[in-house]
Amino acid sequence: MRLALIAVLLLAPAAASVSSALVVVGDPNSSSYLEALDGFRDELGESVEIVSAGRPLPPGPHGVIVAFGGRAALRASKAEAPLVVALAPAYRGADSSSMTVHVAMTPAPERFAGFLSVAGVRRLLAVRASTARAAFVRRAAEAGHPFGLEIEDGVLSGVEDLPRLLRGADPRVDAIWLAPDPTVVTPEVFAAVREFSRARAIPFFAPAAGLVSGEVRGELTVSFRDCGREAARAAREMLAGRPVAALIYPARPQRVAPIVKSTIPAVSP
Amino acid sequence: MLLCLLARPAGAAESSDAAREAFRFFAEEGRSSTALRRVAPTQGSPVPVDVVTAEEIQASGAVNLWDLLRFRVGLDVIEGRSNQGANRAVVSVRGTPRDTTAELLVLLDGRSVYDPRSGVTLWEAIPVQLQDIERIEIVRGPNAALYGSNAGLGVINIITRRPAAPLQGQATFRGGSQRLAEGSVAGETAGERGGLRLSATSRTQGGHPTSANPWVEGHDFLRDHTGNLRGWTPLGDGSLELLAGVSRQDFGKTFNAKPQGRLDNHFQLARFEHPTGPDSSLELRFSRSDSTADEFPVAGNRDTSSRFWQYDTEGLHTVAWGGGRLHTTYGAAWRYAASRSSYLYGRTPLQTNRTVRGFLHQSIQVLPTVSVMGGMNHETANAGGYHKDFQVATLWSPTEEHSFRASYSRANIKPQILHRFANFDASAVVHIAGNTNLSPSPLTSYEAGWRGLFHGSALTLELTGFYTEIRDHLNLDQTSGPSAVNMQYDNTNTVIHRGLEASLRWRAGPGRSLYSNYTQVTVTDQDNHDLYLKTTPRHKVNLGFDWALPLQLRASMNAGWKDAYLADSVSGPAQNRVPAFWRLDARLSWSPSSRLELFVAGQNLEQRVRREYVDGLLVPRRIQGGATVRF
Repeated sequence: MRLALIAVLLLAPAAASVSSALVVVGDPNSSSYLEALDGFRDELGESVEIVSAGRPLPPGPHGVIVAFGGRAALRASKAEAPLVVALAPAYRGADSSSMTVHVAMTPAPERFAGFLSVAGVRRLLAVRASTARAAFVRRAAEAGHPFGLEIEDGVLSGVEDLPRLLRGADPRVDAIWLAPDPTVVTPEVFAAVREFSRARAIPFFAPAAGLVSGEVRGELTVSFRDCGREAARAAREMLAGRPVAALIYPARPQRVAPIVKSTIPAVSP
Repeated sequence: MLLCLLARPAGAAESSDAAREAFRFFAEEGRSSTALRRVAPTQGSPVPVDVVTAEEIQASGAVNLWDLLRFRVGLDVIEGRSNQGANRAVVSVRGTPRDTTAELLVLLDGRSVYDPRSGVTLWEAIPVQLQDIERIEIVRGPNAALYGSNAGLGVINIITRRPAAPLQGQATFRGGSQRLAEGSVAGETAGERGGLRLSATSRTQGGHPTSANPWVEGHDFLRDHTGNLRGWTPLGDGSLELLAGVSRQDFGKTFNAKPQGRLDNHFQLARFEHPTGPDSSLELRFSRSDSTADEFPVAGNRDTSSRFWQYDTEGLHTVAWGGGRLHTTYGAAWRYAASRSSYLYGRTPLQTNRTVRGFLHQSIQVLPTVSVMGGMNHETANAGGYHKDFQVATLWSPTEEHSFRASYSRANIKPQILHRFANFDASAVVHIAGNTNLSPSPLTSYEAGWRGLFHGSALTLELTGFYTEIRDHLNLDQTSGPSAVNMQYDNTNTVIHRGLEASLRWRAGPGRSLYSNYTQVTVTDQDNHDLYLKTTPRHKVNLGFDWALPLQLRASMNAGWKDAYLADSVSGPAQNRVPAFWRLDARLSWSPSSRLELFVAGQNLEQRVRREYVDGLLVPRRIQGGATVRF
């Protein structure tokens, strides 16, 4: 299936409409990026040629470059063209460029806070590492305040810092969220946070749809496919000459299920 | 118990293909981050790497920096003021502990902190505070191809915390036996425009008991004051950092209202990091340090003070290419070290040493599961001579959880200023002389190892075997001269270290971990010096745990057994046989809220006093308690 999709993406003739002005850079060997590329193609409704992140870009000028992943974004940022960056949670290389649009891997902070409030969360521990997500957590906390939602900003200086962070968390914390930050999304941290949520019998919101299982909540996650769709919408708007925000939050998820705490098992390790 | 652990089923989420792919995605994005310099995972390292985490530092209850290294695999720590005066600990890796251990390179945030006069690390004088340390990376085995000379048997890199919290602070107060009193405070702020952290510690500690009368305190009290600053700001796509520190230690006995000895240190370091592409970065570093040692006269009227200062510049470029299958690191470094002392060098009190080196390291992923690495370092110094170091290693990871490695290395330990130009009386009857004919000591090492991860990385097992030969080993041998006893540096000896290291660590959950490790080392030498043959404990076993308990309590314990050894100082004639012993350290803490922690801790709990070294001082049992407030 994956090979067939790669073949379609790589061999499909370039259409003469929107896709002719687009350069899409990504890694066609990874199913994560491939899922986003699939969403991108679905939204665009056309085939596009994918330039591997390890290869040079075709000669310009380019209408818009869409980069999936940090490696692709670094490659694409060298070209002087409007750039859409998706699935690059640690990428900060082109922040200063006014021609760069980022597609976030989270819902908008207001929507994020709204979902939590509807779900009955009163105090969330948000675990993050880099300073890049400080503004998101701050905005979500401000948005949740009128609903009585408090967000505790849990900053990790390193993976080793996690037990101290969890142990020092306010006892009133009734949900925990792991930010989609490469520094903290590792099997070790994930297992520790899941263990923490089990021990306290509180819901755990995963940073990516692929990490959602029976005991890990997923309503706050945005799928890679959704990120691809948002990147396509942004690219289409930019090609049409319409203004696009520098930071776009995917519209999904569009609903959240209320949390019934008794369904979260308190399992001993 | 081990079989039970192995039989435990893996977690559901991370074992699914979707979860694996998600983790792989974030790992790939982490490598592509422009905010962080690329850090290779320890699983992919060609040499064994052990990491002391901030969590373990807090759980240890340690007062001294070297106590954090005591229970680690492959390391040996001896406490007790040595005949070098200020050095209160001897830390060695893979054998031959002595107060002039020069085969171990110690770095503070990448900056070398060994004393360029003699190659010794004065642990008490390193201007760093335990509250600032984020992690300590212990690399066992030669790594001179990347780090240069003196990284012969290992490298210890102390990495301090980079300010990351919007606004955060903490204060710790502790007191205990041996007249221990310590206060430390730290605060930091960080945002998108940069970060700043300031910290300070002040400590007073009484002297060790003496072997002549264990109930009497020795004349080796310590007053230690240290302050540090770390700040950073984004600069383009990269970042510019400034680190600075200042410390003063007064120690010894009080003489005419002055301490017997005083050490003043300060350093400044500027570092610029800039991403140059996917997984590629450029780093430039410039630092200077200055240290003054004053010893107030206790007999006669001689001036025994000394000063050394040093400038370091290093630039390195790491490039990933060939679709990420090849990683190249190359760079160059320059160092100017100067030492002034009319006591140590006689009629030529100022001695200098200029060092220049260039290095290249290449990693090639030849197959998806096989990587080959090689490196070379060329180095020349006017006091140390010319040498080249190289290493080759191969790493085979048949699965993501298991890796096998084999390496061959050639490193050099170069003579320092003191070894070449010494000309002083160590006592009324002993004269020490340098030797300008000294050459670098080549060290050849072969080693192989395996590292396995089980139960979703919760359980780590590691096994390493090594064979290391040091030729032309630096020695202090008796010769003829003007005094009753005359010693001169030479390097004619050959020393061989063989050993085995095994370690196990199980992380059961947040705040719940246990470990055990075993080290076996056999040392032989050509000249049959006791200093080499008998000073290394043949067997060492360590075990311990850190466990979060109900009611916000937390308990941790470290226990270590060390085989009998001979305590022998290279700078003095004394010898003592130390029988095999257990050492027990423990800590219990209670956190009634996230902002407050109360703790009680003890070191050396199983014995009231114990001899570890040769200078007549005994290591006492220490009990301490205190509180940490976070805001």
